[in-house]
Amino acid sequence: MINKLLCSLVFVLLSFQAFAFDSVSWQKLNENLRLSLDLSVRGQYHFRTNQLSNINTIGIDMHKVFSGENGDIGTLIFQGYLTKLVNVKPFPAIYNRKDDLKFVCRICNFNLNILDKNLLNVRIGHYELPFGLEYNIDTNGTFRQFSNGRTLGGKLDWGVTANGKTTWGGYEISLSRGSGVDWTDNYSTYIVSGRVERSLSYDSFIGLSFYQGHLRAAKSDGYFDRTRIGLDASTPLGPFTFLTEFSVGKDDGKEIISALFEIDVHNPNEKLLAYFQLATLSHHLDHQDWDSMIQSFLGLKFTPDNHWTISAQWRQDLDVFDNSQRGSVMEAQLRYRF
Amino acid sequence: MKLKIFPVITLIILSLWGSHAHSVAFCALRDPVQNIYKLFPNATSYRSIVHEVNQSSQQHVKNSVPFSIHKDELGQHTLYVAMQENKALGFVHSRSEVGLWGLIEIVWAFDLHLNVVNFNFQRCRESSCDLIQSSDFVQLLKGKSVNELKSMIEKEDYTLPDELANNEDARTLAKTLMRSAIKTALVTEHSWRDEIQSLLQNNQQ
Repeated sequence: MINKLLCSLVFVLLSFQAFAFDSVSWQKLNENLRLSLDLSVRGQYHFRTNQLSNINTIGIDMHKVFSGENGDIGTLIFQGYLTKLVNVKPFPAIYNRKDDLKFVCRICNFNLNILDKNLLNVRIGHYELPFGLEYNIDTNGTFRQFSNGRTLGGKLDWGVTANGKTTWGGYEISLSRGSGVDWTDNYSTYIVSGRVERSLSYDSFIGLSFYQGHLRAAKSDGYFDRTRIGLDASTPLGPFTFLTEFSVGKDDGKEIISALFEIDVHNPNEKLLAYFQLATLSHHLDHQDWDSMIQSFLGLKFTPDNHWTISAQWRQDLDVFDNSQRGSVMEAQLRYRF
Repeated sequence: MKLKIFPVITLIILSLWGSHAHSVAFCALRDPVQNIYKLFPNATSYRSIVHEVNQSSQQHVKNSVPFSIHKDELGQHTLYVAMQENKALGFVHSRSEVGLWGLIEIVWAFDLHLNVVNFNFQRCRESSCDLIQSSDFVQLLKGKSVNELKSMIEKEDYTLPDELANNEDARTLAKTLMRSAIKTALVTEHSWRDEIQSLLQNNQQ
């Protein structure tokens, strides 16, 4: 049902686009086009298992604004990355083995302007789910991550959103397939999610998010329902920024609480960023005690020019779920864009 | 022989590639939507024009004033044309300056002749930004061309509102803003010259 609805929406949007584009003069394809090649090499060392691994990527990052005589029509973003794992154990769920090679479409969508003053736009394609801090801060291909991977099981999905900005803030409401990074042939899953943001000053905001999904279980053929409500906020103080996000919800009958706190600091030209994060995830079933994990992340990012980014992070498990072992990982990455 | 696909594809793409550098992933780009409509309240939409700000633009600023744009500011930038239906109202262009606690992103609004209409801060961590925004400082700049702003700075021919004159950080930021207005107008004039001419002609018809 949901997927039929999505297909209908795609058809309507494409018809609308064809109508809209007919009335404007087409620009040359390279106008308003940004294109970049993105290379990165990442090394990881697991102290407990004495294991070295690395992840190498090469990708194309494209941003194209389509404009007509009366204004912008929409924006196309395409980020296609070829990723090579080398001895990555455990490997992320989207890969099939520890030395996998895979093409990943990170963010690939078209955002079509519908109403004047950008009060309503419609995004279609593969995008970051509107939930939590992740919405405002780009973390793809970087060590610095927020809670969505931990608490939602992923941060990307295929679908359609309505989004807009006003003088007080912005919003995005999404209906997506629930398939995550890959476009699978399983049409039984869906996610409805959204976030409303209030801008408080130049660098401060507060956001309220929700998430309702019917998803496939990772290690079985079954399905489960996932719900979350989240609150996030960011505010600066001198060179420091304080960020936090908190969410509660359920995975079927299991109650989940997730929280993250970050303090970061940068130098005046913002070439150097250091951050410290504390993240927790707790769950409990009826008649059982709460079980929690706590992780800390200490990271550095140095951007000497418009090409290079050098970053490093130390991840330390402070507490782990029952029957798990504490880990400690040191990671470093070299990234070059041109 | 086992084919090493990843390095082969990497080498092929590298050998064919020729483009400009951008340190930030493009999904992080955000149009200053809220500021465009604050600065031009009658605008109903805006049109983006992406151009390269290159060493020639940098040299153009250097030739005009004793300060210029930093090399990190070179690269592709967007000029926004604020539109009311099919009529161009003016330009919006955002530039960054290094402040006390991080980059200050200033969104400038110009009329079609590149005289200052208004400005707003997109990002700012300093208390003097609030002070400047809530004062009459903008009245000093409103309607001024690049030459008038240059003359103001060279002859120190301006009087800051009292609340700014008595605050050292605010005085420094006020000077930074005046320089930023000049640099932004000069860069816009140089890098988007053809589009500006075309919009002026269209508006006269």
